[in-house]
Amino acid sequence: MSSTLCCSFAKNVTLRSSDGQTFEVEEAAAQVSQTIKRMIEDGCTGSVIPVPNLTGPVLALVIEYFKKHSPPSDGCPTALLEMEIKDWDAKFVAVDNDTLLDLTLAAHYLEIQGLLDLTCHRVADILNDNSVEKIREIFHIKNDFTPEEEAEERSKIQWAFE
Amino acid sequence: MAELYGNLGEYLSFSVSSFMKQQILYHNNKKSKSKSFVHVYGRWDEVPDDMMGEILGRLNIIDRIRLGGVCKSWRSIVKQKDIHSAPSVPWLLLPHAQNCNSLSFFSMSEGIVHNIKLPKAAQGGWCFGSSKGWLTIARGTQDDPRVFLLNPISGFQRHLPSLSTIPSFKDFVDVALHPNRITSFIRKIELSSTDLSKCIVAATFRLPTTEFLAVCKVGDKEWRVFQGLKDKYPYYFDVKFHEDKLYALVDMHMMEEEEEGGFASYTMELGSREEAIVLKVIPNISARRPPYEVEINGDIIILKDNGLESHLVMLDGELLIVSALMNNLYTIIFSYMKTTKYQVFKIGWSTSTFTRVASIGDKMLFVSQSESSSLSAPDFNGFSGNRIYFSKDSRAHGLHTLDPIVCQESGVFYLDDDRIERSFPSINLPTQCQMCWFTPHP
Repeated sequence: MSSTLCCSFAKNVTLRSSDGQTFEVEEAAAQVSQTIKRMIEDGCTGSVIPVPNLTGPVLALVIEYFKKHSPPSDGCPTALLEMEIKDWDAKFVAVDNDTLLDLTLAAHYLEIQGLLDLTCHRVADILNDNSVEKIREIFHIKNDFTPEEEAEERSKIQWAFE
Repeated sequence: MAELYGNLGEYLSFSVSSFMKQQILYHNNKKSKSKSFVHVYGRWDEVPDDMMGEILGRLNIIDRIRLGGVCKSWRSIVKQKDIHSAPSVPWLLLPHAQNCNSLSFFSMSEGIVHNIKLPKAAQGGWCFGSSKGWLTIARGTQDDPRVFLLNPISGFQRHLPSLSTIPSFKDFVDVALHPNRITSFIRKIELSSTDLSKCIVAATFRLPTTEFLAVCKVGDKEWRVFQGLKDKYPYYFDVKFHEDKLYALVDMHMMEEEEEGGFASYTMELGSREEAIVLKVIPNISARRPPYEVEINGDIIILKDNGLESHLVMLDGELLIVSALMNNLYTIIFSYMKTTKYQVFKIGWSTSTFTRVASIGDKMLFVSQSESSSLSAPDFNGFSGNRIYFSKDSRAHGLHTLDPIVCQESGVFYLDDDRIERSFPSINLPTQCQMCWFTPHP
């Protein structure tokens, strides 16, 4: 049986947000994103990786997520660790709705399935628990139906509101 | 809670049993929790479609439909058929009067009854079953019956070929005396897909002494009858599509002459499209059972476990045989069936053998004559696994009337301890009123 002693320095990559802020993060952690993983595999590691769809504050949050979700060095996550991550996740998405949208879009763009599951689940919960009027208010959506259109629409699906 | 509970009781004149009460109680507890959210500006009406798809995939059908009322862009997204909704517990289509203008469905996961208005063109008919989110509705006269599929959620409907394209239909209508001849003629209609553009329709039809099987595609002008099978297979317990094939569950003793090595199969061409459908015939293992015992209880004669109803149900990509055994009870006035237990069998395809399944783990089965499905209980709050939720229509006859009547039962069978809990007892209704599970889709 052979064992590999790995004492090399963790390799870092640099990510740059749309507003020019740069962040250094371990390569293994950044690979939580499938998009970044592909870029690294395509040989983009030498220079700075641009992330033009994300602003600095959002990228900073996403990097927090990377760090928490980077694969553990011993390769096998314990049940305790998993529970701790779950708690951390729940707190991580307990944010205002603007940030929630930013995080969802970021997860979508960077292909971070875990984060996408987390944010979409939270959005679904909010949609589940609120009336149409309340949803418009929460997400600040303009009601673009005329009163007649709305009444007609409502009468077609009245049963779903009862 | 009393109000909701009253709703259903009023509707069906029965008392809700404890498993349904649990659902209602659970739902009301959930509702009473109030939550508040911080109000911040957002750009939610411009969310990309594929991301909305991710979110809608986590919502059930009711919430999805409600969301269509938020704004125009959301309305168009929620109607996209290629975006799937979260799996939902099937609704129970409740008995309805002929010529009614709306249908009622009991949603167990919400603990409420939904009344859905039928589109004008579908009013005045009667619903006799469901498959893959489509209701099968018959309308018109005995001489010119029209049968069509209706999605009550979208209001979309498509006609099936006229029954008069089946030669034996006229004979049946002429011979049969009771008024509900059309729905007595059609035993079951099964679809291969929710998407009607690629859907194959299979149907079993009933004649006085035999049954037969026919197929068509939606939009076809006529039914195509599987010829030459009437003598071999006079009775179909169930038919189901699975992986491009059609499976039929037939009586066991009809199979004895079959050769070793696999179940019989037949091929039928589908019109001019150079398509064909393969039919595989599965003998029903449950039909092989000891002779029944007779018990006399006062004025009632009971033939124990004499009745049998079997379904093909998909569980984890595998077809199972799920059978109900029923006591046949005779009184001076009429006879009826009462379910005593359910049995589940796995099919050994290579060996043509069957294995009794004692437990289905955390899965729940939903069985009815027209629609059967399975779900994982942990995906749904308030539900537990290893249970069979059933809704059953058994044909029986009033001894002094020619009209067949339907004994309707619904409830839950616990595989853990072979116990049955009935949501309401066997009741008698005219044949055209069937109760069945219905899985709504947009």
